[in-house]
Amino acid sequence: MVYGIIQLINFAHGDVFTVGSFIGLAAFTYVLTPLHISHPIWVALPLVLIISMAATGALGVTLERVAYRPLRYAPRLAPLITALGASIFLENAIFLWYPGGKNPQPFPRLFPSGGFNVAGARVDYLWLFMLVISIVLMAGLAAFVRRTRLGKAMRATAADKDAALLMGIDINQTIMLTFLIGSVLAAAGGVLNGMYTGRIFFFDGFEAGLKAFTAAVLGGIGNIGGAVLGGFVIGVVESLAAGYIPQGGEWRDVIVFLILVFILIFRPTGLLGERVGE
Amino acid sequence: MSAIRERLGRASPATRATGAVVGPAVVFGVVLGGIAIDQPVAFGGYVIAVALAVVVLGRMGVIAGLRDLTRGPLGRAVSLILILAFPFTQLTNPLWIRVAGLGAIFAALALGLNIVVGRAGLLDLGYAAFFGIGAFTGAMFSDCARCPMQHHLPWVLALLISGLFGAVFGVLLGTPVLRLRGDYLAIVTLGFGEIVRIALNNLDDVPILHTNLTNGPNGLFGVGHPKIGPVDLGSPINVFGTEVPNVLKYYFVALILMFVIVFVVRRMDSSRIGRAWTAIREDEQAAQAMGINTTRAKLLAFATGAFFGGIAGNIFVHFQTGTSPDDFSFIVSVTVLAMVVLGGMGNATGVAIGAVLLIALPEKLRFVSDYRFLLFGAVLMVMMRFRPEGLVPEQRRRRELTGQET
Repeated sequence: MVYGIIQLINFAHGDVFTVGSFIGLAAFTYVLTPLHISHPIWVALPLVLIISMAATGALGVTLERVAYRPLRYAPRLAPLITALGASIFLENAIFLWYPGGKNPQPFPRLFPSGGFNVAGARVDYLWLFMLVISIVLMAGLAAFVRRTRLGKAMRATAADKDAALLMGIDINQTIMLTFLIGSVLAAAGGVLNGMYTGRIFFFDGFEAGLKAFTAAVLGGIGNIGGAVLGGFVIGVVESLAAGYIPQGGEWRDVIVFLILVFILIFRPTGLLGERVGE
Repeated sequence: MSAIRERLGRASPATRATGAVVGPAVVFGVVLGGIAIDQPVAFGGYVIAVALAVVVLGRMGVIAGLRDLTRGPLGRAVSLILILAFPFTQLTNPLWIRVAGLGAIFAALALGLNIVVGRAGLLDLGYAAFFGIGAFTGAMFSDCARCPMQHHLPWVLALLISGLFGAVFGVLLGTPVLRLRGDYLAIVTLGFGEIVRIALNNLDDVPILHTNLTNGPNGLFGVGHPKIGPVDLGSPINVFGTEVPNVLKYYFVALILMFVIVFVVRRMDSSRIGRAWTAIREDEQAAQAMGINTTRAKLLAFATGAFFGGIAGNIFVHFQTGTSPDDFSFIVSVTVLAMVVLGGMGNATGVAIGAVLLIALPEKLRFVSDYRFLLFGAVLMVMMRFRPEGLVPEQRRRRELTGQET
């Protein structure tokens, strides 16, 4: 979403996601556990989510103020480089300053294990919960962007910054808000992902960001349905490659990358994309 | 333009000549002084003091004035002599001859990346891939006893092969991506860098063929030192009775590469191609409207950069007498980019200085070595924010990046 508004790949977004998961973990370990409110989950989980989302949102806004706003009218290369710098900085900050950050950290599950069977397939409660939360957040985001005044301001800013400014929109505030929402969502994603995989690592976000971008390009930039399809295709291709091609496991990233390159050659707009890539 | 700079500009020939000698000599002295300080904390203080002095003198216009004077033939000659003489001041200190060699190799590498980032304005985040391709082909086409595949060729030929391999991969990668906007290039090159590393890691069992090309994660070691005619880069040399390790020769080889790159880039710059690059950097759509084949011009920049990256890789593998895929991870690409950004995009002198700083400072400041990459990230952010034109700016680029009309 941030990409859509400011037309800039935010390299640091994946790392904001990681920071979100680490803040969530810190909130659980250093705040909730000493205060003896790490149980039951309907107290702990919302608290962890709220703390992480608040702190990460603040981080996103700071990042925007410090690193991006001063460069809004600079050539494209400049904000790309700062974004990269921010990404490296955040990764290494976790690596150096989070206790034990040099190794993957176990993440509490915070959710009852177990599940139920539907037509022979096992459905985990946690999995269901993640699905529900994701759908709620996505629907909320879509409604916000489509229906509210601020959402309208965002769309106007995305379409044409200068014209939006002339229309009396405070674009600084709008872009800051975009970063805030983007970071808050990233924090939620980070915490959920931590609960799902059970371990978090300072390098997670970087890989996640790269895969997410590949998925977005595959599906067509700026197309939410396309991004979902792209993510799905990549997941399937990876598993199939690992299973059916000899030594496919080692080469699966290479295969995904080759798919990306071929898509860029033959269909730069992605599978479902309509807008022509510039 | 400050008063001091103007006065220096109008000074008598004798004063100007003195300035041209004194300027480089002072820099040289500062560097030697820094190396001589062994204690890390004292060295940290020294760095801060020097940085403060540079800022103050810079504000007063002294540095700009001296730089103007150093531009003449005399200043250049003095600088060149001091650069050539540097390793001989460290005869008792082989570590620093090694650091100088490594610094020169990375300076050449950064100059190669500078063609892509600084001249054509394309952000390449996988430059280490070309470095790695050059290094591995370099090992394979050299006298490498423990390499699984070995075709011993004369070194100059092997150098060209490394460069060509880099350029071919550069074109293969660039063709699909360069038609798109810069952001795609950044991400795809980043992906490419990782892919090359993964491929080098796994090519110990090439799919289908089942041959071993790279020894996988173990890397290729035992790469011999090359010989050019009578010169054997492997043997130590004797200077005034002191035995100097052979790495000294690599320092000079890397310097030659640097000069070749600078020469080639200068020639390209003052041609149609260079003007096309500048136009693309400043406004791609306008450039296209002026009839420039932007894809071709960008591809040429990309291939040229990749070519020199490959050659630098070849020299590197001989210098280290071996390499492993981990030498070419993403963080290496970021390091080289930080060198370019720190020194000043587009400016050869600046880029070389940036490279030397980023190689030499961590060597001295070992007590903060864990923080190195954190600092690189901060360098990228701070430089873009406060001095996007780099420590040693190029005039045209400076106007461009600070938004002044050209």
